[in-house]
Amino acid sequence: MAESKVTKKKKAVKKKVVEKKEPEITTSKTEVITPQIVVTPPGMCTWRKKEGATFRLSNGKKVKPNEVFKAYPREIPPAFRDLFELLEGDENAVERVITAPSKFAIGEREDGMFDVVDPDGKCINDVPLGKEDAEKLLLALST
Amino acid sequence: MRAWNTPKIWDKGECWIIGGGPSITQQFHIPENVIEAVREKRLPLSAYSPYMESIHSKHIIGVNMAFQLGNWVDFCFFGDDGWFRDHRKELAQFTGVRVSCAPMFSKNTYHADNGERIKYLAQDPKKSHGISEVPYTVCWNANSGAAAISLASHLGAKKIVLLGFDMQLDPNGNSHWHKEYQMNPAKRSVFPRHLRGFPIIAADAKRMGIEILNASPESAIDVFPKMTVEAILNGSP
Repeated sequence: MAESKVTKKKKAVKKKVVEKKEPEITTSKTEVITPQIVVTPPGMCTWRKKEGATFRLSNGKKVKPNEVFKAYPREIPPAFRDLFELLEGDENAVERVITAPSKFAIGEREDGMFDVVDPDGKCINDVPLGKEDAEKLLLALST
Repeated sequence: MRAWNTPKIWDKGECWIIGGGPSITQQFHIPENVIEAVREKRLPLSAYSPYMESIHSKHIIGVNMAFQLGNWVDFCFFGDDGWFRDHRKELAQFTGVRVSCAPMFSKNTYHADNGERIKYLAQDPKKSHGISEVPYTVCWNANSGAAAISLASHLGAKKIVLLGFDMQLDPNGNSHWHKEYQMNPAKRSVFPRHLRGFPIIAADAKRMGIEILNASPESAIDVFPKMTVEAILNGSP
C-alpha cells in the first residue's frame, strides 16, 4: 500500500516535469496586405431649385421652385442639372483617402498549423487553423 | 451592402470591449498629467497605451474612439453615421477590423468595394435590445458599446469584460476618457436610454452561457459583477 502511494507520487512528479518541458509553439509571419487608396464620392452640396415645376430627386424627395436644399450630386440626374443652381460645395470634388494596410498576416506555427497574427505575433484566432482556413480568415478580416 | 458573415474565431474565448467612459483612466492608473494632456489634445489618445499594456495581448474590441489607443486594438466597432463622417480619415489609418451597424452602410449609396473595408452588421429589426443570435445582425441597444456585445458573441467569446461602460458622468463631469466629444451636462442625459438594454443583455448572456464582467466599479450598470481590471487579470473571484 505504502509502496503504491510512493509510486503514484513519483509518477505525478514525473508528469509535472514533462508538462513543464513542453516547447512553446511560435509563429512566423508569411504574408502581408498592401495599402489601398479610397476614393470617396463628392459630399453633400447646397442647391436651389430654379423657377418652374416641382422636381422629384432620385431619393424620392420633392423640391419646390426656389427651394434651397442639401443633396449629394448623385441624387440630381445629370440631364436635369440645369434646373438647379449650386449654392455651396463642389459637385465634382473627389476625396482621396489612403487606407492603411490590414495588420493581419498568416503565420506558420512550428507544429505545421497556421495562425492569423498581428505584427506583435498576437493571434486573432484562438484555435490553430489549417492553411486553407487561415487564408479564408485572413481574407474575411482584411478585405 | 452585404452584411458580414462573422467568423467564430474566439471559440469559447475571452474578449475585452473598451467603451468611452472615463473610468478606464483610473483602472489603468494613468497619471493625471497624461490624462490632462490627452484631454487638452497635447498628447494623442495613444498616450494611454503604455499604461494599458496588461491587456495588449487580449482580444480587444474598441468602441468608437478606442481604436486610436493603439494597434493592439483588434476591432473598431461603431454605430453612428455621424461619428464615421467625423472620424473617417483617422479610421482609415486603423489596421485592425472595422465593423459597423450604422444604417448608412445598409444602403447602396455607400460603395462597399471602395477599399475602406467596413464590415456591416445590420441592426436586428425584431430585437432592439439584448444580444443578437441572428447571424449578420446586432442588437442596437441605443448605443454602440452595448451593440458591440453582439459582435463579441458572434466572434465566439464566452467571457466578455466591459471597460469604460460607466453610463454616468465622473465627479468632474466628464462623460468620456477623451475630449473628442463630450455630453453637454445641461442637456437631457442619454444614459437612461443607454442603460435600458443591459438587463436584457444580462438575461440573454445567462441563457447563452456568456459571462460578462464589468470592469468599471463605479458604473451605473448594475446587472453584471463589478471587478477591477487588476482583479480580473489576477483571476480573483
